[in-house]
Amino acid sequence: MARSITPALIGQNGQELRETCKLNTERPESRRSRTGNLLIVRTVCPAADGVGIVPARSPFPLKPICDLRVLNHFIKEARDAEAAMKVCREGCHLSQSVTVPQTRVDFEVWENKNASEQALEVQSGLWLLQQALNALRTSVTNTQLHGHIDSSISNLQSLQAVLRSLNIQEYSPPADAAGLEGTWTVSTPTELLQVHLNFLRGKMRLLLLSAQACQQYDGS
Amino acid sequence: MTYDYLRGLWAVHVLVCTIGGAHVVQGARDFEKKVSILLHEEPENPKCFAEGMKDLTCFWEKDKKASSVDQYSFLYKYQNERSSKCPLKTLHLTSGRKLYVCHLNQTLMFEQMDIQVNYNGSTIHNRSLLIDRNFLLDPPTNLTVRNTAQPGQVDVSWVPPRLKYMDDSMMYEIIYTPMDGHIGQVEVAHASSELVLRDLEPATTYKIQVRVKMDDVSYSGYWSAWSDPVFIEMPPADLDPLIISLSVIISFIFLVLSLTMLVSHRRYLMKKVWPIIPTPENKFQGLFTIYGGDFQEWLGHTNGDLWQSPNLFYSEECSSPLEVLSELPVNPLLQCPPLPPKGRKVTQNVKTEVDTGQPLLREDSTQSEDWTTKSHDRWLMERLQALQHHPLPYSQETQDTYVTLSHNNNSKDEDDDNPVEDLPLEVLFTSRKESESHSDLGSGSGQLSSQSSYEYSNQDWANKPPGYTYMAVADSGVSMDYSPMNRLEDIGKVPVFTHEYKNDISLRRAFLTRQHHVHDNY
Repeated sequence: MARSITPALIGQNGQELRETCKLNTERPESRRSRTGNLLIVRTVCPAADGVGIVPARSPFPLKPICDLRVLNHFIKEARDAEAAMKVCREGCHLSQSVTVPQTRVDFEVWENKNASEQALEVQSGLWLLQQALNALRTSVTNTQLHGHIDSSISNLQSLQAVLRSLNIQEYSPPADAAGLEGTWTVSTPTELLQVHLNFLRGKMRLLLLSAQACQQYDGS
Repeated sequence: MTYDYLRGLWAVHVLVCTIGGAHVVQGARDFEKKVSILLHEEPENPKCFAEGMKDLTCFWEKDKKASSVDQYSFLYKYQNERSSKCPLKTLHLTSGRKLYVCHLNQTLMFEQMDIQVNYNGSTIHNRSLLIDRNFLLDPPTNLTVRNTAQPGQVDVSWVPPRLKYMDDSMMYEIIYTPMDGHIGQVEVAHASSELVLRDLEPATTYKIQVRVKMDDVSYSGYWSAWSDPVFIEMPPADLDPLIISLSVIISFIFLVLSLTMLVSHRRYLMKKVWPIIPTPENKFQGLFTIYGGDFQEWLGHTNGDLWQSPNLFYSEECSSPLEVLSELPVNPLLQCPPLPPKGRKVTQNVKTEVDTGQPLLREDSTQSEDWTTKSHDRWLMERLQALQHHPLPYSQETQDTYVTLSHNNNSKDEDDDNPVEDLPLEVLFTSRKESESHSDLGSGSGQLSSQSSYEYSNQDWANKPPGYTYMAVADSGVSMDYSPMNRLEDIGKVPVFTHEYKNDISLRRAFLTRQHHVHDNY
């Protein structure tokens, strides 16, 4: 039976950004964290039967989230997860290779891309990472790493909401992710979390920095 | 014209070269600074740092053994790509060190780079790094320090390194050191190019510097070198009106408390500063209050009782009062009657004078008229003066001026020295020999013979015929003679007390002259 859980996503000015998450399970997990002026209540919506969770569009207009402290917080948590995975010796492996996005950034090349290309690159990478982390969550049996993996997955979902607040179009995933351009495969959990961290520090940040919505918001 | 054009072109060329040369020299200095920082901070080889968004510089120190740069190769590889080779250069530092340097102008960030250094085909250095985590930036420039309106505060601003997308990822350290030798303090600023320093000491010169580093969130790296210092002198402290008012209030309170203490303890302080001079006023009842210090008058009213009290004056010996009655007839023409003779050889003298009593009486009668007219006081004073001119030797055996009865030494010489003094005594002994009493005159010398001393009580005096003036003296012995106040010449000359004593002179005179008028008693 599907249940609607409404996590509270608070914007910069204290307004509440509503987002619903349709679940196929009866026990969602939530965790509250605080990042500067932005209070985020994350709700993990674990998938069932391999079906991904797509948050429903909020009926209320979203104010752009331009404070990079949110991303900084996610980056720190991703660093913690990578550090924890490095020291793991048992129960931490990938059952299969996963496709992950390229994280390299050539600033000259990046600046030569337009906003749509940049957005697509980030959205696709975000989707790939979500898939890979979900697979990792299933493969890892070490319970101490579950929390890190779960927070990483939740953070990726929050970032999708942030991108949505910036009027960045949503990504329609392909049927087969392996043939996507600008991707490569990893076979170890450590590599996967490194990719996750580098992606957030690089492309995700650059996209948020150059988002038109934030520049218009600062100028207004 | 062509010559002028060429000359101008040559000047511009020289100028550009000069400026460029200066820039190159400055760049070389900055590079050496960064090399020295990495040599100190980074343990791995090769040591690599990024200065901007696209570059990467790696180096290692040349080994001591002789080698050529061609023997080395620098290989780098990103993930899922093939290796690339970096051309190496040799760099000589001013310190004498030699480096092999690889510099890349095109780099990829947020992806792992694998580096391998080979020497003659053998790998000597191997390292994996992320370029975005090895930033070594140039120090901030245009450091500016300004005084603010608030005392002890300055506003510090600077220009950060120009790096796109990285401005909000930088953090800064500002160090301000007083020039008086104290340890400097450090303040940290995040993603801001200005800072307000507080609590700086007034009238102190500070040296201020700043350096920059990535904030370790998206980018990481090493602390840059310190910027060029800026010196600022803090203005002297202004007197805070609150402090001034508090100081005035506290001073006023302290003054009031001091005055209160002085007033409440003034008697104690007066005693300490001006100690009370003991006065014998309590021993002489009414002498100063009623008689104004007139001792004679006081004596007249008190009958000389105090004189007969040995405890008042003498602590060494008890004196026995002795009355010497002069039987000379009252004669205004009588000149100064002679003093009673001394007590030496009294017994013998008495006997001898008995025989010659008649002539003596005749001599006394001629003087009786003078005796009645002149005051007894004057007589006493004159006798005293005579005595002062011929002072008696200090001896306990010395008799009182008036009483010379009890001296034991019988010598003719002494009699010859004082013939006049013996006269009244002879007369006395002539008439009073049947009433003899013993008295111990003078000091307790022991030699004073009781045989030669005569004592007459007041009762005896009562039996005397009226008209005779008599003089009652107490044998003061030593104390009378040796007190400087007794000397008439010393009155007014001898400073007895350091503090003023208003009854001093009158008391001295009272000691010297006293007289009990017969008329008072009869």
